[in-house]
Amino acid sequence: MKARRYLVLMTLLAGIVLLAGNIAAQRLLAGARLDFTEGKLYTLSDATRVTLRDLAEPVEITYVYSRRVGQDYPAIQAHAARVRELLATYAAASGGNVRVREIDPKPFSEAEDEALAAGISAIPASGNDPLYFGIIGRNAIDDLRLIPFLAPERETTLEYDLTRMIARLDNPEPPRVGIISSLPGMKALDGESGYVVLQDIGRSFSVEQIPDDFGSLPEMDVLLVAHPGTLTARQEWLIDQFILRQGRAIFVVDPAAKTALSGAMFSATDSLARSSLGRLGAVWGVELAPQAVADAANALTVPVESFTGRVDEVAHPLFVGVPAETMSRNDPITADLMRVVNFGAPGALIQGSLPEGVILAPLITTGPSPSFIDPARAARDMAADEVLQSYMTEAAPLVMAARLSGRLPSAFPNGAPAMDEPSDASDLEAAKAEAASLPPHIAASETPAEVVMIADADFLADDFYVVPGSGMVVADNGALLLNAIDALAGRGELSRLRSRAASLRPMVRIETMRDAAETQYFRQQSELEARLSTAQARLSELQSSASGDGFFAGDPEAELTADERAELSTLREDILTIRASLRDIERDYRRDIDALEATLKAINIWGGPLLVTLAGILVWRRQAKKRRGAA
Amino acid sequence: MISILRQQMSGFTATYRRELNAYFATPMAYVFLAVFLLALGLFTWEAARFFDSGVADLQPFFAWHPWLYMIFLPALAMRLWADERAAGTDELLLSLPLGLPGLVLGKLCAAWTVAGTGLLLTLPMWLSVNYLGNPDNAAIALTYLVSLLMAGAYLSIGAAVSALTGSQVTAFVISVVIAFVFTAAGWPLVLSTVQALFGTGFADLIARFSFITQFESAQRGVLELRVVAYFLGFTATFAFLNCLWASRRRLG
Repeated sequence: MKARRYLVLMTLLAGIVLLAGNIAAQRLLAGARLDFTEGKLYTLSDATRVTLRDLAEPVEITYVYSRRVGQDYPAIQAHAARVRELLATYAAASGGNVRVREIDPKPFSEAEDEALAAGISAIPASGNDPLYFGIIGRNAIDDLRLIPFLAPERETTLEYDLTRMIARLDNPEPPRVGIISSLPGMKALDGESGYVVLQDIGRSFSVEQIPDDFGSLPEMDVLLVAHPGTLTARQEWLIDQFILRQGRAIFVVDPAAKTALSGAMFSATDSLARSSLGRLGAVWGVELAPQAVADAANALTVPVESFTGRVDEVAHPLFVGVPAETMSRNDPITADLMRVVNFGAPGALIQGSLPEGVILAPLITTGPSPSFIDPARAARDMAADEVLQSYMTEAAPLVMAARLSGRLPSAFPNGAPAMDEPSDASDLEAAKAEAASLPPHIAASETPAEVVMIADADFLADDFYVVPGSGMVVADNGALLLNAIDALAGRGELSRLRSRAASLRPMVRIETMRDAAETQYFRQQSELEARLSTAQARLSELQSSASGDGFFAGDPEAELTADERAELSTLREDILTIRASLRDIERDYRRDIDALEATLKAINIWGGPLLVTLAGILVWRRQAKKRRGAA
Repeated sequence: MISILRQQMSGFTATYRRELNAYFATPMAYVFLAVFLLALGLFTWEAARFFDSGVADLQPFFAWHPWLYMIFLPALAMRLWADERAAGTDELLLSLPLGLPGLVLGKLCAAWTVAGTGLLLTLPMWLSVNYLGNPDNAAIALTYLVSLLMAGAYLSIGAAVSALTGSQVTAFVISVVIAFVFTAAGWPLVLSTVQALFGTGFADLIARFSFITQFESAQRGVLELRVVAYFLGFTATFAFLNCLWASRRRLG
C-alpha cells in the first residue's frame, strides 16, 4: 500500500518536473538556434544586427494579432508564429532597446480600439470578427510607424520591413526623394495610386513630387529623374546645380518608353517616348544612344496570339530579362539582387570622354550580342520576328545601367540661363522672388557626385514585374530602384537586406524534361497539324467537286475519275493516321515524366519493404537450417 | 560517483544486445520495418503527392513522421516489458544484480535502433529528391536527426507503459492514446477547441507540449536548443517513469 502511494506520488512528481522544466526551458532557450538552411533564411542579417545595436533610444513594438480568427487560417497562423519569433529575436539582439508586447484585439476590447486608432487594417474574415494582423512601432517621442497588415506572401521582405521601421523610428526623419517624371505612374501624390515601386518608395522615404513647370527644387537628399518630359534650359540648370551641391541623383531615361505611349492617344508624338540625359550627359561624357536595344541572349518569352487564335509563348528580344548574376557584384545596388530585372525596349549608355577623375562603372549590361533597333518602331508593338529581321549584332555587350562617380563640371559654363517667364503675368512676381532666393551658380561639384543612370523607363511599370491581382513580385525591378535610392541616401546597410529570394527549389530534372518534350513535340505537332489541314482542304475540295447535281446523286464519288477516287481513299487513310499520331504525341509528351514518376514511386514505396522482407526470409531460413542442424 | 553510475548502467550492453537480437531474430522487426516503410512511402507519394508538388523539398515526407510514429512506435515498444511480465521473466531480471536504469535504457535503445534503421531505409527518398532537383541537404540532414530524437520520445512512452501492464495489447492501446495526446496537442483542430474552452493562453501552453509544434522548426531547417531539450527531457522523464513502474514488483 505504501509502495503504491510512493509510485503514484513519484509519477505525479515526474509529470510536474516535465511540465515545469519544459515551460522554463522553452523560455530560457528561446533564442538558442542554429540555422541549417543554405541561404540562412531564418537568421538575422548583419544589417539588422548593426541597426539594432546602434539604436539610440528604446523602440516599442506592439504586435497586433487576432489569435482566434488567425487560427482559422493555417497560413496566417504559421506566419504569425514566425513573426512572433522574429520579434523575440529582435528584442534579444537589441540588448533591451527593442521592447515587444503583443495585443489580441478581441471584438469591442480596448486592444481593438488601440489597433484601430493606430491604423491597423481590419481584414474581413470568414466569421463575424475581423482579422487584425500588423505591427505598431513607437519611439520615445511617440512617433508612430506601422505595418498595417503582415501579408504572408511578403514573408521574404519581413525582416527588411521590420528593420526599416525600427531604423526610421530611431531616426524619424526619412531621407527625402524628389521626383521629376512625365510618367503618370510615378506622379501620384498619395501612397495609394501610382506604380507599386512608387508606393514602395513612399513607404521608405518622404517623396517630394516636383511639378513639370518647376522654377526651383525643394530640399531633398536624392533626386530621381524618371523619364522626364521636355526640360527648359533653366530647369536643366537647376538639376545641374543640385547635383553639383548635393551630388545624389538617379536618372531613368529611355529611347523608346513603351509605357509612356500606352496611356497616350494614338496621335501622341514620339517625343513622348524618348527622354535623354540632355545637356548634362554631354558634359559628363555619357550619352544615351539614340536607338533602342534588343538582346536575343536575355529575351523574355511573351504570350503572342497567332491569327488562329492560339496563344504561343515567343521569345521577344525587345523584352530583356537580365539575370542578377550577370550584374555588377561589387556595387551594393546590384550585388544583392537575386532575381532577373525585366526591361522593355531599353537603351544603351555610351561612354564618351569623361571629365578628369570621374569613373563610369557599369551596373547592368546586355548579353554578348545585342542589336540596335529603330526606336520609333520599338516603342510601338513590334513583333518578335520583325525584331529578328532587323537584328544587327553588335560586337560587344551594351551598358544598360551605370554609376557615375566623381567631381563633375557644370553643364552651364556661362552661368545660369535666363529665368522661364511664366505665361501668366500675375505669377511673374512669385517666379522672380523664387529665382532671387536661389543659391548662386557654381561651376563644379562641391560634393563628389554619385549618379546612377538606368537606360529604361519601362522597368518601373507594374506589368514588368508584378503579377496582376495577387501583387506577387516576380522580378527585382523595384528592388533595383529602391537599392539605388538607399545606396545614394546613405543607407547602404539597408540595401543589403531587401532581396532575399524565397526558398523555393524546383525539381529541375522534371522541368528540363518538360522543356525538352515541348521543343521536340511542338515542332512535330505543328507539322502534323499543317499536314492535317492541307489534307482536309484537299478532301473537301474533292468532295465538293464530286457532289454535283448529276445523275449519280446517290453515289457522289461515282463522278470522280479512278485516279481521284484513289486519291480520296489515300487522303482518308492519311487523315486517320495523322490524327492517331497527334494523339500519340499528346500521350508521349508526358510519357517520360510519367515513367520517371512510376519508377521512383516503385523504388520508394515498394523497394524498402521488399528489401526488408527478403532480409527477414533469409534470416528465418538460416535459423531454420540451424535448428534442423541442431536437432 | 562513477562506480555508482557504472553499477546502475551495468546491464546496459547485455540488455541492448539481447533486445536487439530479440527484434531481429523474430519476424517482429522485419514486419515493423516493412509496414512502416510502406506506409511512409504511400503517404508521401500518394496522399501528399510529393511528385506533383514539383518542389525538391522533403516537407511532404517529414510532415507524416509524427503521425506514423504515433501508431508504429508503440507497436515496437509494447513488448519490451509486457513480454517479460507475461513470460514471468521480469522477476528474474529484476532479481539479477543489475542496475535498473541500465536495463531500461538498454531496452529503449534497442527499440530506438530499430526505429533508426527504419529511418535509414528511407534513404532512397533522400536520393530521389537529389536526383530530381537541388534540395537543401544540410536542412534535410538536420530534420532527419530531430526526427530520430522525436522517435525516442515516442518509444519512451511505449516502453514505460509496457512496464505498467502485462498485456501487449493493453500497452499498445494506452501508449497510442498518450502519444496521440502529445501529437494532436499541436493540431489546429484540437487547439481551437481547447482555446474555446480554456482561453488562448492555455491553448498556447498546450501547443508547446506538442510533438508537432516542436518538430516544426526542424522541418524548416532550424535547430533549436529548446526542441532538443524538450525531446531529450521528455524521453528522460518517461525513462524514469519506466524505471519506477518496472520496479514496483521489487518494491512489493
